[in-house]
Amino acid sequence: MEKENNITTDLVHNARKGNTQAFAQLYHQYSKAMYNICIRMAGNITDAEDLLQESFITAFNNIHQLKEDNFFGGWLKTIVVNNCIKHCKKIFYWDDWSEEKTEHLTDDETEWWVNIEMNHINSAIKQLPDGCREIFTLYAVENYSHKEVANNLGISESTSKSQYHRAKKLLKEKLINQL
Amino acid sequence: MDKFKQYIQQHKTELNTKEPSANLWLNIQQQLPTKKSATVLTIFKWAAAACIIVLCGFGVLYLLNINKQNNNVAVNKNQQTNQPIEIQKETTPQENLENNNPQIAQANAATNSTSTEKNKQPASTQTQKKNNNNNEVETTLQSLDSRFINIINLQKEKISSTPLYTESPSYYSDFIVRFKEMDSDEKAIKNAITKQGLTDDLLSRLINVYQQKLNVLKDLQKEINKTNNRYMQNHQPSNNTNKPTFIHFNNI
Repeated sequence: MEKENNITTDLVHNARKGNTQAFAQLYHQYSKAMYNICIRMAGNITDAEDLLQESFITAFNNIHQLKEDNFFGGWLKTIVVNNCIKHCKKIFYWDDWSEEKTEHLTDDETEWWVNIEMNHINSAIKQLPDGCREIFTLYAVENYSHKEVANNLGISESTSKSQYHRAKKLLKEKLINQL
Repeated sequence: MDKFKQYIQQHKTELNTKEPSANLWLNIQQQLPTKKSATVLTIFKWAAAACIIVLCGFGVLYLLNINKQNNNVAVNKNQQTNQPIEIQKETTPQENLENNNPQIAQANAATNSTSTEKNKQPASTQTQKKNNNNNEVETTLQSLDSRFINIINLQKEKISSTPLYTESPSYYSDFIVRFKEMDSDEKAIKNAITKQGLTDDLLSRLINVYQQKLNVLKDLQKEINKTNNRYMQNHQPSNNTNKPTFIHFNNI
């Protein structure tokens, strides 16, 4: 792990000097993870690729602003997520859900997901409707809190919670039906 | 934390299954800050550094040059203050006479010391004036007079010893008239000196008269030489033992 960090640090160091080879290696190291964030957030390959390209260009053009070389991964992910959020805010609209609906969706369940393969869960996430898919991705996959999701998307915290529970319910219905 | 979220977080890496198309990197690569621009930036930095060094170099050279010039000026000033006699020599019109006549040059060498005295004299004569010491004025005037007259007499003797091949002495009467006019000027200045004392103005006028006298004699010598040369060119030397006798200046 430490060795991997050192390699990344060297790559970032060389990329700062404009080394094209270092840019290419950083791209190949991070593109897959970042692309999957983009797909989950955008919901389609075309927008996902556009967002990924825009994010890498932004990161590489502003690499001199990065304070610590070993923070490159986190810094790049922030750029990608911010670009995705910006994209989503242009397209999607989230209805405010009432607190009552949220309470209605409280956890009751057993761990129904344990016996389901991750690739099925992954494809089911991608099929979630626009709006609740982004909130589910930010909260469950990218480990944002509901407060952070609310602040970033410009919605209320309760809307974030209700959209997450809605997503979870839809996933359960879809995945259990597949069994 | 929500249990489902926990489960997703634990298996997060398994969600990253898709890969971007290969062309995407090519698109990104075209819009990257390339090494070329970094190289250009580096070259620019070095060029700027080189320019600064060159400018500094010129600045240092300029300052050194100014210092050198200042030193030269200072040295020249020192030389001027230390060697006033040499400069005076260069500007003295008597130099022409010295070049043409070594006898006069020798005599002038003696008078040079007096000429420096003459320059220094105004200060001393002023004190003399204050003291009304007429005796000292007279002795100074006599010594000055005698030295110049010696030079003038040397020139006169030289002219008297030169034979006149073609023309009679009356041909050169203009020179004699000019010389006599200067004689009368000399007398007038000497009278003024005995009355007013040896002032700067009178001293310079007296020296000027002596110099003009010498110039007239020199011009006369030149004219005689010229007419004699013309004669020699027209009359080839013969084997005749009876050489013609020539007239000489007797009374200048």
